Amino acid sequence: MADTLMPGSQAAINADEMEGLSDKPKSFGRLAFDRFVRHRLALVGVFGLILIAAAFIVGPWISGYPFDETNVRDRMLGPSASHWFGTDEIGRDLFTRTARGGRYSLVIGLVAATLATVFGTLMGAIAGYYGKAVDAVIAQFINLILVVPFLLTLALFSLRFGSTWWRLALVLAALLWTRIARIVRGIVLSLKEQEFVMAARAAGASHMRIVLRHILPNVIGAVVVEVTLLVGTVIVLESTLSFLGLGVKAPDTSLGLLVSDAKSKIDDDPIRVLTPGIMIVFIVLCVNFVGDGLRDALDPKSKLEKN
Amino acid sequence: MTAPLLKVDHLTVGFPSKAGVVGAVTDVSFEIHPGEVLAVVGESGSGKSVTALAVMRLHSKSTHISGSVMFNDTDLLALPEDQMRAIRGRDIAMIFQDPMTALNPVFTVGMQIVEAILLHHHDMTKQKAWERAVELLDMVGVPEPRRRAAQYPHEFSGGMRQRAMIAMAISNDPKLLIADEPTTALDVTVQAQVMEVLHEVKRATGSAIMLITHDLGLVAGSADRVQVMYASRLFETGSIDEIFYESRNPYTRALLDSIPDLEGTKDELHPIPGNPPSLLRPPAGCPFRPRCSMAIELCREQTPALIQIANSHASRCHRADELAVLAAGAPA
Amino acid sequence: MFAYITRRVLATVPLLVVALYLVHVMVSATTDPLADFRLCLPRCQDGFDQIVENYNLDVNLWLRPFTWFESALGGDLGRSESLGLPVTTILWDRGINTAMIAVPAFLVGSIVALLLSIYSARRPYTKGDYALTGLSFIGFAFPSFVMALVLQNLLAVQFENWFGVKPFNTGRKTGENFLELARDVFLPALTLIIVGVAADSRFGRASMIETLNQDYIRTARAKGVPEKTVVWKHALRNALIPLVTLWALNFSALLSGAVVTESIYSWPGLGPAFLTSIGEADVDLVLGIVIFSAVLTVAFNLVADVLYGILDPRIRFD
Ligand SMILES: Nc1ncnc2c1ncn2[C@@H]1O[C@H](COP(=O)(O)OP(=O)(O)OP(=O)(O)O)[C@@H](O)[C@H]1O
Ligand code: SF4
Ligand SMILES: [Mg+2]
Repeated sequence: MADTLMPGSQAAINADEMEGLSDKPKSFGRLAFDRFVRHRLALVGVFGLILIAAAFIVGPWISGYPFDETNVRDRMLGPSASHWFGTDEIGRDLFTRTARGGRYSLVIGLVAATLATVFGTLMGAIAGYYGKAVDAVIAQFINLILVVPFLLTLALFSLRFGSTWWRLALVLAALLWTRIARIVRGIVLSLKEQEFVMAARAAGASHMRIVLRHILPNVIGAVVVEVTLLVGTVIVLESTLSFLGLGVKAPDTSLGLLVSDAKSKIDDDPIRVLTPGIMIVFIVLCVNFVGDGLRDALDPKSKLEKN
Repeated sequence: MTAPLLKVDHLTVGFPSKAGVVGAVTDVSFEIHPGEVLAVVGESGSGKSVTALAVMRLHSKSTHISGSVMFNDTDLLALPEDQMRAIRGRDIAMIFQDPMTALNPVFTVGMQIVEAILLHHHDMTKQKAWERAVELLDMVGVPEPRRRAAQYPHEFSGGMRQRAMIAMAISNDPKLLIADEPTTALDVTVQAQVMEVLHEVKRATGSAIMLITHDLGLVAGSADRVQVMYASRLFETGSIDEIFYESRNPYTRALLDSIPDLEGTKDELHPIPGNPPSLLRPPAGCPFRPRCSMAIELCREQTPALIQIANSHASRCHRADELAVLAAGAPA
Repeated sequence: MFAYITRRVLATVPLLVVALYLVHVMVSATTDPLADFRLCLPRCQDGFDQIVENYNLDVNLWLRPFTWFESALGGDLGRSESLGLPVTTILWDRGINTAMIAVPAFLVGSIVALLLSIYSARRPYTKGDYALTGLSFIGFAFPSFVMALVLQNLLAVQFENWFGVKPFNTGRKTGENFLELARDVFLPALTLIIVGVAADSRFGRASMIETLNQDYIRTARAKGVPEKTVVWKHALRNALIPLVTLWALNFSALLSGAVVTESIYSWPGLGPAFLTSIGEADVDLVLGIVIFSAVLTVAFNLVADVLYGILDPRIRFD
């Protein structure tokens, strides 16, 4: 095989993988897991997210109203047993609508962050690994994305292509991959010079193989943290866009749009603004707690004060 | 014999962590006399630096410290913070291991020495302090001291930075100089020069030195007394000769065996197998037992006490007496 | 140093040109200023022709930006169709309005964030630190539109309900005298401050904690330096180095207009103008604001680099 490593290490790696007891990664993963579980805030975050996702998925089913069913007789009701969050000016059940918006927030957040991460990691790895011209081109590309205000790109895109949730997720990902790319590039640059990568290269491993096999696994720790934080960023951005009328549009709804619908009535009915608003805050807060926990868990030096 | 300059009694230092208290120093007692050089040796993690920092009271507030540290009859551990601060840098000064990180990168070397001087000489003018800083740099062998004083640490080489650190430490003629592995981070050739500077300083100022090091070779030529630490405890203490030629402790002997011989007569090195025990939950018995070639059943059950052997010689080992008959340099 | 700055500026020019070209094409391609007129043709042929001329619609999409570049080089950024004013006038007037909230928000926000960072970093993992970190987590989770609406409602409407006085204005700049202006500025600035402090103080705390753990801090303490001096001289000077870049980014972002906050408080700054320009396909105004924010970003990054060099003697400009 042209791309095998030195026989010894190859054999060792394979044996480990087969038996699933590759010693080092496992003990690190185990350690990280222990640290994460001991991180109280992180657990609160995970628990909060599960809770809210469950409420958003199961809730509307219990409440029994379709999100777009109007009912002129029940307009502008306050919270009650039959309408938990009240109703809007054409009698639609606000809990069902909030749940639908919340689901969008979560789904867009996850999808966009994942896409951005995959793309950013790849671009960063390529830039760092190949260096020189490739690196320079990617760097300029990133600068180009950053120099144009996000809002402009997002708005133009949504004007041109409409704004179904997956399109929104796609553009957000297309704008937000740059930070991860930079981080990964930095890590790859420093890894590249290290022994095991040199050895693999000396043994004639292909570029692709080195990147996939040796570099990406090392990058994962930093990336996992970034993805989590990115989910929060995406949710905030999406709700802001929808609030400005540039994201998800009526008759569909999202948390940002719900706030926007309610804002003209805020003086009489502040609660109606607060419920979707607090939902956003709650979700982002939980996501950031998880991110913080992951950072502490995956970065061994984070809490060890040296002397 | 003169009264001791520093008298440490039953010093115990613990760092609280989520998993429990890390016992970094356990019941350590020792003395340093005026003008004396005490070497503290031991493997990494044995508690040398923690002991030194406890003497300087530089541990964070959360650290558990007990025992007493008498300096000229004042208990440093009981002193209010502002009085302790007046002692730091004036009566007791400290040099750290890594000169690359121990100087503040954003201030010139001269300014950092001037600050040390002015802190303890409130009436001195800045110009005079600067002159003094230049003098000190000259004294520790920094060439072109006037120009160098105006430079930043990154413009100095490692050896030069350590000289600057020494200049800063001696700027107030301290009675005790604590040097925590002053040469570990330096090139071999530079190490000798820096040690030479330390000797020079000692001759010139007459201050006592607590020299912390991994390097027993360094100790032989420069110390009056040696103190061996292992797993947070004092394992043996004695004069140079007592430690090097009449050691009564298997750990000390193993340590001696693990260094390149001074005269070059040893053909092989014998690194000590295994690792020091956890300080979080230390096992019962002698902490060296798992690695000790002389261990007996008793060592498993009972932690040995420090046994007085001669006037200045003490060893922590159940078999200290038996070791007397074994010739030093040929440990069991 | 001068050579360094020149080189940096020159390096960003091509990037900016490409960005502006693409923005021009994108705006032209995605929007149709003629939409309303198509319906009423041929009755409104005059208006139609006028728009075609104003927007150079008879020129090919890919060539249209060059007309704009030509006049921009002569200092003429064109005319905003939606606001009926020259773009430079709008940038100037709106820029001043934006600065009225951006400058106080930046100054107060940065200082408060710094003080909180130092407070937290000096006692990490204690109750006080946890409380502040918790608050900054919460503040950081607030999208600015929620924060703005909450503050507006709480400090204006509800406040008046409870106390019968209205200390702050809730919208639109009136500003006859300084006091009136301060009442106008307060709420939008406060919104930006809270959101900014929440983000900055976590970064500042991390930077300060890292600095306080450095060896040279221990050296300073070992010299007998009083704790106050250790923090405010030895540590702060080093901890500021990474913060300077953050501040530069923050300030240039604020000065380019806080779109959401300004819109909610109907503040006539660059933010709402930007939204209008997008909504109305006002190419010239879009480009004007893009240039404005790009130039600010580049300029403040340069300022940050220069400050960086002053704070950190290890940096050389060559
Ligand atoms: N601030 C701290 N918090 C927690 N544990 C600490 C702290 N400082 C030191 N320790 C632990 O205390 C033990 C003794 O450390 P110390 O620095 O005294 O070792 P040392 O003998 O100086 O070793 P070296 O030769 O490596 O400098 C080590 O296990 C170390 O991990
Ligand atoms: S007490 Fe026992 S184990 Fe410990 S050093 Fe002595 S002989 Fe070895
Ligand atoms: Mg040490």
